[in-house]
Parts: sequence; structure tokens; C-alpha cells
Amino acid sequence: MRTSSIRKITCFIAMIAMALLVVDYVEAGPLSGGGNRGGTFQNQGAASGGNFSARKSGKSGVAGKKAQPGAKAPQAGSKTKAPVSNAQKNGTKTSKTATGSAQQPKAKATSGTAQQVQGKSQANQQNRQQTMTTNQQTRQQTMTNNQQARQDYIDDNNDDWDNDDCLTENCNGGAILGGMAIGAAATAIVTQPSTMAPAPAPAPTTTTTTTETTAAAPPEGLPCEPAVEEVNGITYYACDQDYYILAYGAAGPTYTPVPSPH
Amino acid sequence: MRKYMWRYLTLAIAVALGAAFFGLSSRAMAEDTAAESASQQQARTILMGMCDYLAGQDKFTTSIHSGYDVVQESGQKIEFRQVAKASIDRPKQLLVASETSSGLKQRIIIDGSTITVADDGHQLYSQISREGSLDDTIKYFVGELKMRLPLAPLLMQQLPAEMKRRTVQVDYVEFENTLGVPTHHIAVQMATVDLQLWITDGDHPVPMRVILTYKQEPGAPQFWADFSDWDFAPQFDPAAFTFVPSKDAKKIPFVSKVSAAKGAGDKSGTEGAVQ
Repeated sequence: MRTSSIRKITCFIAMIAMALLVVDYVEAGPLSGGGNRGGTFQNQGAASGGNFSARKSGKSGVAGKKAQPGAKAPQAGSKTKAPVSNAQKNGTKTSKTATGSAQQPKAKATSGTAQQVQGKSQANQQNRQQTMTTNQQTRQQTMTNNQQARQDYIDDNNDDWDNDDCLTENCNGGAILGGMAIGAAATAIVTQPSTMAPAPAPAPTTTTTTTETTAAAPPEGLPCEPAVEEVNGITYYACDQDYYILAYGAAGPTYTPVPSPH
Repeated sequence: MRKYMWRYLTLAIAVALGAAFFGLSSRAMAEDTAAESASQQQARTILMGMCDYLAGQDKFTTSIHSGYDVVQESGQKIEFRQVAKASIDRPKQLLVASETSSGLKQRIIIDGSTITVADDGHQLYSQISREGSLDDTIKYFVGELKMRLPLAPLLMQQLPAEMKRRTVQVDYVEFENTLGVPTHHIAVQMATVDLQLWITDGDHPVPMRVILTYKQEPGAPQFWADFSDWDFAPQFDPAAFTFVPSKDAKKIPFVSKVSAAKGAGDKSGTEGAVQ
């Protein structure tokens, strides 16, 4: 009789062990679980057909159901960087938080399955499950906090050495010799002279040899046909009271406004 | 008999405790890696493998055919292109010879003590002294001189650290054979730029194609580059990294130095930059 009881207890313990393993596997999933899986990217979108027109709804060009973390939708059409950055940060956080809370009902549902398996020890199992769920929530919270901290770090340290606008290929640094003038800096060449500081008085020790000539043709990127002056070996290009020199910018040599040499 | 029963009972309890411990441990491990799926981990491994491979080379050359969008005021995107050949001779030398669709024929030369940028078409060049490692010089060139060196991080030995620091999320898109060699298509999300790379499969992982999407910019313009002719045992002519101006060449300052001099109200800074 006693032997029979011990056998029953042994079987019961073995069942608990099996149940725990099943619960752990189902809850945690295989190690490959979680996150986005490869091979599920949408391969159709506004540009997939290579057509000369695209659907207007696809403003961001993002097609498909899977919204990637990073909140792409607010980015499209945004004019300024900072608000978009914040929106993106919030979007990422929201997405991660949602992921965290989405896992909890799953744990509870799985717990219910485990309880059916266990039968008699339902109360104990519930206690354990409660503890496990609490621990899981704690770990999930920690993970979310860590992810947020990492994201905050990334956002806060966004002033990378190469984050200058010129690196985005949209900045010409001015008019390009022999090329097409495009970009904000090219406009600045025309507008900057009107806001230039008054020219400082020439240093008394400076020896100035000025040779004034007129260029044969107006160089591209200058607002006029300039008077060319050589002052201390530097070639100045003058349009009325505005002076320029050639300097090397991100997209090549460009006329850059400078104070008057006089 | 009773003795055996107790042994069975003890063994069963031990198994149960072990199973519970193993289960909890494995689940904790799974949660630690839950932030990245298996395919994401695979993508990260491939990405970092490419970074480590490039960073570990003493010297290499590659041809880069690139283009980029410029979003016009009308909203229209116009593409501009460039062909370039990059030569890296670590620890200190770099040469990038390029020609843009606008006609600019340019050389960027870093020789360990001087940075030179030459517009060979117009016989104009700028020079500035800069001692230090190639990585630091590239950072200075891009960050402080505000000069253009597309995909600069790919040329640096700090590439693995740079990539790791910038990567917010990495995904594996697909394996493909459309670039002439089998490649892994990897998608990387960074804070302000999305990056796609096609990295060759095998023991010599190099990028064959790169697309950068400036996702926060109006119109989300892209920069793209196709790589070819990777050579990790090039024979360099020592003169290649030495700039000798022609007698008609004229030295001009860097725009950033002129701007700095203007900002400081220092006219002599402009003059000094020209010397």
C-alpha cells in the first residue's frame, strides 16, 4: 500500500517536471522566436513596378502590413528633424511596449493549458505560474527599459561625426565650377553677401598690390560678371561691394563670400 | 523494497527540480535573445562579419559606381552620379579618385601628414596638414572640414564599432543571385538613416551594393553605390599617394576654413588658409 503511494507520488512529480518543460517551451518558444523574421518583407510597393507613377497613399513608400519599429509613417513629409526624431523615438518605445504587453496574455493562456494538464495541483500551479508571470513581467520590463535606454542613447548621441547635411549628398557647398548649381548652399552664395559683416579695416602692415581686371565671362555661381582683384596673392571676385574667393567645398571648388580685402 | 522506493522518490524529486531549473534558465536565455530573432541574429552576424573583414585588411582597392537623389523644390527627385576608385593602404594612406556627373574630376589624397583635395579638371587644389591615423583623418575630413567622402565608415578600421554603435535594428531580407555573385540582402535601421547592404556569401564578405535612405529628409532621398573589382592584394605605386601640383595648379582654401575665419571675424584666417 505504501509502495503504491510512493509510486503515485513519483509519477506525479514526473508529470510536474514534464508539464514545466512543456510550459517553458511553449511560453518562451524556440530560440528563434520573437522579432521580425526574414523572408516576410513585402516585396510589392510603390516602386516595385518601376512605373513612372505611384499610388498617392504610399507617401512613405512603405507597403504591406508589417510596421517596422522606427515609426516610418511620421517621417514622411516631415519638414524638420527634431520633431520627427522625437516621433520616431516615441514610436519605437510604443512599439516595444506593445510587444511586451502582448506577451503577457500569451503567458496566461499557456498557463491555462498547463493547468489542465496538472489537474489536482491546480492551486500550486497557479501560484507558480503567478510567480513566473511576475518574474517574466519584471524581466520584460527590464528589457524594455534597457531598450529604451539604448534608444535614448542613440538619439542623444545623434551628433555623429558624419551627420553633416553635406554627407546626405544634398549639399553642394555652393556653385560648382562647370556643373549644375543645385542645393541650399548655392542659394546662400547669392543671399549671403547682403548679410555679410562690414569689412574690417585693412591691417596697416599689409602690403597690398591690387590688379584689377574684368573677367571675360561671368563665372557660374556668381551673381555678376565680377571684377577680379589680386590682393596679397589671393584672387578676389567682386560684385559691387560683395567679394568672393574660390574655396574647396563638399562638391568641389566654389565661390565663397568673404569680407572685402580693403 | 522500501529502500528502493525512497531511491526512486529521491531521483524523481531531483529530476523535477533539475527540469524546473533548466526550464527557467532556458526561458530566461530565450528572453535575453528575444529582442532578435534567428534571422536577425544571422543578419547581424553577416553584417558584422563584413565589417570585421574590411576592417582587417591592410590594403584594398574597389571601384564604386554611385548615385544619389536630390529632391528639388518642386518635389521632383533628380539623380546625380559618380564613379570612383578607392585605394586604401593602411595605416595612413588613402586615395579616392572620382568623376561626377557634373564633370568634377577629383582626387582625395591622404598620405599620413597631409590631406589634399584636387580638382584636376580646373587645376585647383586644397591642402591641409593632418597627422594621425587614417580613421582619425577621415573623421576630420568629413566632420570638421565638411568635405564629401561617401560611405566613409566603410573605409575605416573602426567600421565594426561604427556599425555596432549606429545599428538600431538589423534584418535579413533574402538571399539572392542577381548581382553576379550570391549575396545576402541585409536591412539595417539607424537613427536617421536606413541602410541596405548586399554582402557576398562566403569567406570574403564584401558589400556589392549599398543603399542609404535618408528617411527623415523630405522625400526620403537615397544614396546608392555598386561596388566592383574588390582587390585585397593591390600593388600600389608609392607616388599614387603623393600629390604633386602641376605648375598651373592653384591652391585654394577649404570652404570650412573660410567660414571659420569669417565666423571669427578674422580676415587673416582666410588668407592663412590660402597659403
